[in-house]
Amino acid sequence: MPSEYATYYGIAVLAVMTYLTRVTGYLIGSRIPEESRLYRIIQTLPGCALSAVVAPSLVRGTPLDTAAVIAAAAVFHFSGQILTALLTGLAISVAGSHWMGM
Amino acid sequence: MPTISPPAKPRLVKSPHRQEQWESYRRGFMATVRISVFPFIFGVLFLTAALSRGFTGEQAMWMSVTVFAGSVLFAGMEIWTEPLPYFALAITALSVGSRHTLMGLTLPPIFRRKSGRPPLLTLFFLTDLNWLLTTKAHDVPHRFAYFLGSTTLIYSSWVLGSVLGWALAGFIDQTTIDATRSMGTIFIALVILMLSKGFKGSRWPWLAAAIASAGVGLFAPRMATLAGVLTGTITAAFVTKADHAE
Repeated sequence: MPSEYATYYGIAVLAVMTYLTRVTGYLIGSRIPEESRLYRIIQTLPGCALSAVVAPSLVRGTPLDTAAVIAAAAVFHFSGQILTALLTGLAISVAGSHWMGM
Repeated sequence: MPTISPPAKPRLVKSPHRQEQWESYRRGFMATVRISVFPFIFGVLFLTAALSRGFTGEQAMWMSVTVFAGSVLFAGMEIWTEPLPYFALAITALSVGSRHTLMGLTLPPIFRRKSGRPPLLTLFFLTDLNWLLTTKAHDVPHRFAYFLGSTTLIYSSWVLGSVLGWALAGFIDQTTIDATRSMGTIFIALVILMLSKGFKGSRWPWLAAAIASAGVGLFAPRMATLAGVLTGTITAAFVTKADHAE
């Protein structure tokens, strides 16, 4: 592990950069008119970013990871219960890892 | 002799504007109750993982309360080596947190409607969940107050989960910690499903982003998200143009 000081500097770097990602979008978005086509494009981008995070994880993950995600999504789709969906996915991951050694 | 009555006590009367703000805040808080388990569990998992990687409890708690982004923290821990690669940490935070930049782009018109420009420091609390809830709360008059109500519970749950993770760290075995690595993916998949409900725009850009990022992720994992977002943006530009022409 790095030294105590180095660790706190590292935490500061993460904190500042993460805050910048949060505030920069708002500041840029403030200059875009709501009626513009650009704003309509922008509205689809968070969905694109979320999809772009999930898809590679599904492709690279173990079959157990993929099964957990699919099961959670299926439970949410059919029941609308977010908590049940989350717990289903978590239970499959944890139980599967212990039983199958994945 | 005339009697002098004591002056009437001033009554605190809430203006309709304040009442509306308070009601919006309360609705944001209540809407978050059911899903506050997400930040709570992520808080537990993060602290447990951080302690298992050699961080002290104090350091892990500082990370938790000052960064407040599970995905950035987990990605940062992956490259936490001696000597500490500050530049790589900065790039990782920018890359992993970039989806919050895209979410932030959509917020100004939503916040401005009745609340004006919010204090920029409050955007420290922007997460997938309070962004999702706030953008979907179309019938709420003060969306910024709603955002703050949601934020109050999300941040509290995250910090409480972190404290519990610190306390429980010795009781959770490594297999269980490793098993929860898919939690982030499960969470984001559920956020996509929630976002998709009632979404009025086209979902083709989402699909294009998913295919592109999955393909690129096989060869260059660090470029996958960027490739997906770029592909999604280009697709959105075409699809929106087509919508506009109809």
